[in-house]
Amino acid sequence: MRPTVRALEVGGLALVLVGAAIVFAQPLALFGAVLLGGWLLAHQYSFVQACSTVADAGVVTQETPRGTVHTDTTTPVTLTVSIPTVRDATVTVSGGLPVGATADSLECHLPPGTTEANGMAEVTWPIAGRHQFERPTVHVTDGLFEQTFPLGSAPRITVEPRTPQRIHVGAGGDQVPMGHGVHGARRGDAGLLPVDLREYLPGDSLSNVDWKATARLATPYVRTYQSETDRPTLVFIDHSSSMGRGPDGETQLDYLREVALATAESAARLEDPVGLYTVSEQGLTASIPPSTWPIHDHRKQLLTLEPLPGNREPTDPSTTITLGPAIDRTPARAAQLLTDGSDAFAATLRPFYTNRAVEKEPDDGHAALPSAVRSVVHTSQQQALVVVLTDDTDPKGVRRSVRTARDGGHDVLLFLTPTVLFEPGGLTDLEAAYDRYLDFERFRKELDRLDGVTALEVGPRDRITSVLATASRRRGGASA
Amino acid sequence: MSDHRLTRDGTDTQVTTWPGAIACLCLVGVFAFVGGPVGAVFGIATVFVFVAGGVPYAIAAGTLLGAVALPVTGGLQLVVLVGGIGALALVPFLPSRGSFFVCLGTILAVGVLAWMTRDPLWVGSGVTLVTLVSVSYGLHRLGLVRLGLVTHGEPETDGELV
Repeated sequence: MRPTVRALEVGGLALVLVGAAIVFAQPLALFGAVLLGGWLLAHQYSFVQACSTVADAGVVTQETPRGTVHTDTTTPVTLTVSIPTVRDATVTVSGGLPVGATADSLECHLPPGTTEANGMAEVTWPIAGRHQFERPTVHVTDGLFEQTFPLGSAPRITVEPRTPQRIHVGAGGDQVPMGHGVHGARRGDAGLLPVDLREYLPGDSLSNVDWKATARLATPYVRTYQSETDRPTLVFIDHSSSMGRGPDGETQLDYLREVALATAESAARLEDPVGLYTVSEQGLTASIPPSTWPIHDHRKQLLTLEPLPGNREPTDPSTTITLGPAIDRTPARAAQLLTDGSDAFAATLRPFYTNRAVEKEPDDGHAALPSAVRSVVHTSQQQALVVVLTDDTDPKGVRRSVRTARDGGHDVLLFLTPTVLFEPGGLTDLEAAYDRYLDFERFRKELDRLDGVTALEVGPRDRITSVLATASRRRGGASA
Repeated sequence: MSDHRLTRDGTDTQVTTWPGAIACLCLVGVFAFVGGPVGAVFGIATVFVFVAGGVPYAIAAGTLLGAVALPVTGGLQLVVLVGGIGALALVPFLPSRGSFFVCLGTILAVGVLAWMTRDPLWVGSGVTLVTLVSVSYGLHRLGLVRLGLVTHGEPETDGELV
């Protein structure tokens, strides 16, 4: 309880009267101070009674229509106040909006004698997370004293980010588990881990004899080894303009981003080096060379990735390592350089390159992703798992990318988003959507049948289910 | 009762009510009884202050005018004057019986205490102030307890587990 300026004025008057009583030796002034004190104390008593009445019998309700919303959505928050009649005090109730909410003030003002009031505010939720409302605060004042105290309910609201919630990763509508197991070595560049001791058998190499064990056990023993390797995982994610299709927060890129994050983290946990390469129509826009856990840079790059307009320049080289045409180390590029050169070195090497089958560079606009894959995998000294995440708008480019990776002896894991599931109004005609999905599925199967290639579809589970339900109805109609 | 009532102590409404008007008449009559026509003039001046500035300023003006200008020679005159001015202090609380009796009881109790300790006057003044401040603080704590705003502090330890 705090006195207002008015109450302090009255207290000051009482002190003046007390001073006057002492100075002028007038008891009447002292009794004037007594009157003032009695008047002020009676007001204070009334105020305490009013506050107690409001706190004991008042009902303040703070409500949101939904317990879960998405970021940047606006929801109404209502404040309902019901208090008993308070004659001499004004009551103001303020809603306890969380710090993470953006809204105009939520207040109810009840003049003396008013018992009920309602308030409403449009609240925007820009920050994801669980937000706890504070209890509404009741401010009571009678002009001489004021008091603020909490009263009423404090709901909680969950704000979910606009990210894909139900991601389908599978083949032909069937879900497949994500993740990678420990993989064996297929090349001779493996390390050796001691596994077990066993008795020497004819044919065992002497270099494998464990001499300490042999001396200890008085019998020749050899140590067996298991080869181990770190297979790099090279993640190529397409963020060209077409990847921005879909509702806000649930675009094709958003879905592929989640898959890329899961893939990269899974590989990194297995201590495999993970490289990340982002590709747009402009070519390779950023790259992070293969590195092991933790992969903070990869996460940061993926989480800040946005679809690039077609005419956008690659990202700032100061923040990412940009690979452009300068590192194109293909035989075609080498042959071109040697043709341009007129020195003895070029003349000596030229026949070696001109005799090689040089892949002709396409000029049909399908070169960005294959070029990026080629420029990276050709520099990889180890067999790698090449993970490509893109959509089906450029089948030719996807085929060439996969072929380029396979030609280098790398395994390919391909994640494709069916465009039909993301186009605005793409599912209004389910029959047409199903036909387009079948085209996509044929394309995916074609790639999946290639040796060393696994092609999976990525998309919203509910939309894939809707499209496949059409297939069920179609079959049902055909059988009837 | 309006918001204006909260900031003006209700003087504008009190003087238009019968209790307010009767209190003003009593005040003028008491001042006239003690000081004659001059006292009546001072009483009317106090009523003007009551209308214009409210109860606290009317009490302050009335007691100061009475102390300086009126011949208060005996205890009876003092009690009559305090009673006349005190009527103004009681008027706002007539609608609320509890607050009315708190006001009346406080004035009587503290007034008797001040009367008993008035010689020397500075002692009476000190006792009056201490009493008023103590009661006010008590009401403040009572309000906090009723509203559940009093935190029960944990006993301090030296940070070591026993």
